[in-house]
Amino acid sequence: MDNEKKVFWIWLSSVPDIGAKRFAYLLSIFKDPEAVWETSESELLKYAPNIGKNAIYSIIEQKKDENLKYAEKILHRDDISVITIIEDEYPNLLKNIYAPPPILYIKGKLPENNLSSIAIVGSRRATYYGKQIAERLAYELGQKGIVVVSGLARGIDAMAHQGALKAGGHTIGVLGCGVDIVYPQDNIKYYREIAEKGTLISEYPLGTTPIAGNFPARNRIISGLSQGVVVVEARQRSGALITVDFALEQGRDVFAVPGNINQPCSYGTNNLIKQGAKLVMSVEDILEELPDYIMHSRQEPESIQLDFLETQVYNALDSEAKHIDEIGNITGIGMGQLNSILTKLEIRGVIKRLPGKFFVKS
Amino acid sequence: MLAKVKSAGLFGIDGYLIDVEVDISNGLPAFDIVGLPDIAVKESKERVRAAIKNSNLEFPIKRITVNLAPADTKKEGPSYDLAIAMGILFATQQIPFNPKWDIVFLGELSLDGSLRPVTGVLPMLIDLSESHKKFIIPTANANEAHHVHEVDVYTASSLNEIVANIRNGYSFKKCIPSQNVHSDLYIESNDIELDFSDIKGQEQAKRAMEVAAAGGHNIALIGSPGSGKTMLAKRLPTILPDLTYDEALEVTKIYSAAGLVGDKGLIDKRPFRSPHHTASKVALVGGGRIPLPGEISLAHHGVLFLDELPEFNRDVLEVLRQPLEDGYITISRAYGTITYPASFMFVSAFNPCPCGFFGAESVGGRECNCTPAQIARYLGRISGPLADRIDIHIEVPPISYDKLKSKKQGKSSSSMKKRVNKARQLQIRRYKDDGIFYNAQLTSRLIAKYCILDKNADTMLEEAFKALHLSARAHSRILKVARTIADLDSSELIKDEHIGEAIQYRSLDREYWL
Repeated sequence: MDNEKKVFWIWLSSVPDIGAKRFAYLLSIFKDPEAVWETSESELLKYAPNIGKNAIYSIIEQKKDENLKYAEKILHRDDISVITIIEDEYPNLLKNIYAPPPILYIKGKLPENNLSSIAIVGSRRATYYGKQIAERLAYELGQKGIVVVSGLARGIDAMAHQGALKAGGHTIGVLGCGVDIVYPQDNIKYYREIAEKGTLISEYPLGTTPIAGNFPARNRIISGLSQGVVVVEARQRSGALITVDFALEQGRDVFAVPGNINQPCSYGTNNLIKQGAKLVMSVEDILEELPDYIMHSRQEPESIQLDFLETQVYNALDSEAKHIDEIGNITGIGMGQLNSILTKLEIRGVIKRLPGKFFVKS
Repeated sequence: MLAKVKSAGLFGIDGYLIDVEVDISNGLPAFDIVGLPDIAVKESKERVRAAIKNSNLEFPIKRITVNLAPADTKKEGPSYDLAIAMGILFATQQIPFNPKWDIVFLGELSLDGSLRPVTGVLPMLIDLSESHKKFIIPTANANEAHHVHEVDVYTASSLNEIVANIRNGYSFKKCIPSQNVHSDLYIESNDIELDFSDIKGQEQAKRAMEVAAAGGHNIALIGSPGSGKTMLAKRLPTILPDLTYDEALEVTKIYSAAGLVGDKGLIDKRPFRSPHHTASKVALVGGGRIPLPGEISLAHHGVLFLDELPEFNRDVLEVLRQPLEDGYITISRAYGTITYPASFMFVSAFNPCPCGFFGAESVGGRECNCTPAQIARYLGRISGPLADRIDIHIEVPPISYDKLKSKKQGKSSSSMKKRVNKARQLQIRRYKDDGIFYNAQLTSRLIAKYCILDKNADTMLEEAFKALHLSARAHSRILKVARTIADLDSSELIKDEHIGEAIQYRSLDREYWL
């Protein structure tokens, strides 16, 4: 599509009161946003009465040449591209959901349309367990060439992106603000890396601030872009569960990672499993559900040589965090020596230290 | 008629001689004190007059001029009362003057003629002991004065007693301390002796404290409310090496100058000071119109414990930087410039985040609600330069009692102290030509000279920096602490196990702390 037409798409989608649904409705009547621009108020009232008077007044009010000029400026930007729903590049999966976004602002490059994609979502305030699992699943999906979709929030989302990036896979971050806004600020490292190696997507005009109301709508794009949604950790009332609702509505598979029943963070996920979501213990559980995927036999990681004391310490640990004093009690090794053994194991990457001087197997 | 009597004044923690000259002449009755007296000194007129009268002696109705020499230093406090009174009595020849008895008089007079204790007796005695050998002091200061051996100290409880003794041919009572000489402030505030064996479990924290004590390293205790940070910190002095006699005198001098010795004798245990976080700059480093020692000087040769470190005002914390580096603090006021010693172990304690529960959820503890930005802001209140002076970070997590409960009895302070003493002696021997005493004082030049790593240790340190993303500022801290751990192990070479342990004591350099 040429830019002359696209400016009208940008213009109409930026009109306040015109969301995905009204846009689709207008498109079904006028076929083209440019036609909307050229229609007078009375004609709009006559032909498109369903969108309501207020929306029509908004359209008339926004009919300013400067808005078109602004849209043209966006189209000339190197770092941001704009894709309309009628273009081929528009993600196929997303096209077919209820109320797909009419245009997408994109930073980075869209993956090829035929690639499988999986969304990994979850709590922003996640436990170490959740973050670890999110990163691992994303890493393994990334290795298999599957696109990992998430929301660039703190916690699970961030770790999902990180895992996919580490594996050299493609990852898509769907934003609830303008694609040029970094939110939350502490994720700037992921924002930059995804813009470079993956895709940042938003349906909101540039400069839109991250208001709370945008995020539930953003979630329909996350599930819309994916063949399945994996929930890693969710509280009783979590945004991740909204994504699940959209996924079900859109006919996507829903996966959930089980957790400790005492953990508030695992309430939502355990509850999903109870209601029939597929329980995920390894990445194979996800891959099985993807239509074109061929199962690979899983490779055992190469074993690392540990000496006697190191083995004792390693065996004292499991995936639940243990405090150094507890490890000392189990193994009977003195604190001085134990500290040094733990450092050695940490350097080799077989264990990980957590705040509070707790240790887990990694 | 003229009389000259000796007394002593205090400048900071240094005593100096003051000549009290009393001239009595005919003329209109007057009583003047010259020689830059402050209000307390000027008021001594009234105390002296009343004390002489009430001791059944005669106060001359003449023109009295008292000069405190040297005349160009400011005199403060009531400790010249006795010398002025004696001067008047000598000048009016109510008592015989004997030039063979070159006595220094110290003491404040009560209106009834009895003697009250004064501050700074110990430093005055020590600093004047070279030139003067005979002192008369109030009985209440006897315990303090008892520790200066080279001089003859006589005590008196009233003006009358002194007068009687002089009339009796200068027969004074030798200073006799009350039996309770070796008590100190520290015991006074804690009737029960503290010991590390009081704390069950917390083995790793105890080990870290032992390392800190052995190398004189500054430490930070990081943990949730109620995890036992304060308990641990309070027991640190019990494993520090004993004060030497000279150190004890130095500490007592400071306490004496601050008027905190009371009727106690020598302070022979390492002080433990824990000012509240509302403390001001002056309270911490010392000051006032006439600068008095602050908390950091009162913690000299001991422990300064700042609980809830981020709650302290930032500018209050910043003033700690220079004394932490130099071991002394110089305070300048109109009165003069005074230097107080301030060489202490800096122990701080704080929560890992504003709510205090960061990390606790790893073991199913209460959840932390702080965002990374909030945690960064909270810890950011401790400035980089101050954090750089902390060698060892000890994490004290909240953990249920039975998880921590160790089957064996906890280590006792005495066994820990034995190891600490051994390691310290090694260090004193090693650094005898370098002008330092323990590992924490190592400069980067000395680190290069004394922190020699064996091959394994070298590789390990390099790998650790890469694998664990430690910040560069951790490097020299790790070397210093590893040096101490090797000393505890009586090893001249630093091995990989020493480096490995030292790395675990740098919690705040880890990535998860942002």
